[in-house]
Amino acid sequence: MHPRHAGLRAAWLGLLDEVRVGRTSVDAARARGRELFEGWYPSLAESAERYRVECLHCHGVEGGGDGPSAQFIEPRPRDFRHGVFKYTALTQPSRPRREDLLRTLTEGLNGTSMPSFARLSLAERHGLADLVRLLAIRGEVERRLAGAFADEGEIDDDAIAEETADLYERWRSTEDKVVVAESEMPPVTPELIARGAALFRDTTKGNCSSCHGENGAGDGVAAWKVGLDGRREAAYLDAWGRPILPRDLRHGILRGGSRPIDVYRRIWSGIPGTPMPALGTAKGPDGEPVLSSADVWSLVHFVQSLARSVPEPSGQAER
Amino acid sequence: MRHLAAALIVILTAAVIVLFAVSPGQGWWLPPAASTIARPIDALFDGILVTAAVGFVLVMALLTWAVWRGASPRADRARSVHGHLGLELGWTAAIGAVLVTVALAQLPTWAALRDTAAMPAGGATATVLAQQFAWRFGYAGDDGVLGTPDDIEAASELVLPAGEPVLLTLRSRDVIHSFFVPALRVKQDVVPGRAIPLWFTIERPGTYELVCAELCGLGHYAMAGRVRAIPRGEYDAWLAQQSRARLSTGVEDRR
Repeated sequence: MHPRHAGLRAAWLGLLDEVRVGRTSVDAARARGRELFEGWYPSLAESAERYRVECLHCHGVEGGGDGPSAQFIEPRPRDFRHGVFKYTALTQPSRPRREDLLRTLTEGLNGTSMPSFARLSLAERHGLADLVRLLAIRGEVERRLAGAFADEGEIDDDAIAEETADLYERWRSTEDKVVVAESEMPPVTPELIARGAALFRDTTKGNCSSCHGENGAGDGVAAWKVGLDGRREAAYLDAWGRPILPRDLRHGILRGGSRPIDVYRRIWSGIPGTPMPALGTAKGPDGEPVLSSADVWSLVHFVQSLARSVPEPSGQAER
Repeated sequence: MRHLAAALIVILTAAVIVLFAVSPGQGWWLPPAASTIARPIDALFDGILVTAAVGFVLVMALLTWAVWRGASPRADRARSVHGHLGLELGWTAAIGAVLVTVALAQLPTWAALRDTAAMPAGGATATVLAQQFAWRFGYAGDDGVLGTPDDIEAASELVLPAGEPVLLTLRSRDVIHSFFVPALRVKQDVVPGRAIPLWFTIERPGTYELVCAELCGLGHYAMAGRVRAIPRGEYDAWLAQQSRARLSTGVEDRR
């Protein structure tokens, strides 16, 4: 963390504590907060303006994934208001770190309409990541309050403060949840790829093939069902209520990043909001972990070998 | 006031010529050229521009003459004339000759950018993948072969060594994009299903703007990136650092 960030963070948390114990009034804290962030670039207002220019047309005014362009896009833009983000470096279930959002902003999501915003400065990307956090927390608080209102017919101020504090804590306490591989990545060998393939298809181990298919084509039986009209359709819905299909791994388009550790984390933690399970923490009937770190690396090697199984067009042949 | 229209044509024509003449000095022109392919491209560009300018001045002079004559008190009544075969053949042949000359003159330059057989040995190789709406780049890892597990991937910023030939292979994942780096004078459509090779040498280290020059969808405007050319030593260090990052256990994400 930048020293300036650390100082500011300490001052801000101190201010929150003072409000909590009643030493400072909310109004006074607001004024002090404004002083603290004086000259900060980009300000929240500037980031909100940038959000309106760059993000709103897909992600919508309130981050509901319902901007005017959203209906033309597949996959649909993320609805931030669930607080669920698919691609993080963390164990599930968890809110993303600022760095996870920053990485998505910087690199984009491969295979989706989310572009890279590397052309914006780092500070501007940080500002957008913070605005996304703000919209996500606000949206989730509102969703929870709406639920409480439906149940109880009224909402008091304490409930608002409680929900906000609870969610803020969830977003803040992510730093000890980063997934780090226990062992270094072993070199790619045909034996390890074969081992990964066996784990991929073993129903008591990876069991990946039940959805992703024997050869990773995304055609596993569990992921599909026959609809009322007799057509094949997705068997599952994601957290946002849309049909979801397993990735066809042969194309090598891995949305969460293509570094081996990215694939490792997808397998270890699963993908929040989707049927992709967290295999790293899964336990078998005997109470033992289903997969070891070495097993996950073998799966990584197998998954990455699938992407190379489809030849790409070569320049020479077509000239 | 009778010849106001003719005078306006002369003034506007002169203004256009002056504007073009002062533009390069004012920085209203293309960015300074930074690649080997830029010199023949600029020579072609300037040649075609001057040829077009001569044609433009001739047409404007003819127009001025016609407007001036038509506004004169002793002007002839309008006459209906049928075509003049010699005149028509003449200007068709003249314009045809110009177009054929341009077509022939640009062939060596067009080929030089794409003829990978003529590329000197050594140099750097990278792949460019265009997609809605981002640029992704791939490099061979430690084994020096593309399409293997240790490939390096990067988004938005294409890092290349300066002062040596670089070979890019352009692919598209979805629709037609166009890889355009104005400072390098490199512009090539990226067509899905095809792999298009380009090679050139970046002469000066620096950071150059990369844009998509083919309307490719809603986010076309956002499909901007950079080409960063650095000396060979720094490039090797950058590649090594990227290779190490690929082997990460993710521990650096922990604070």
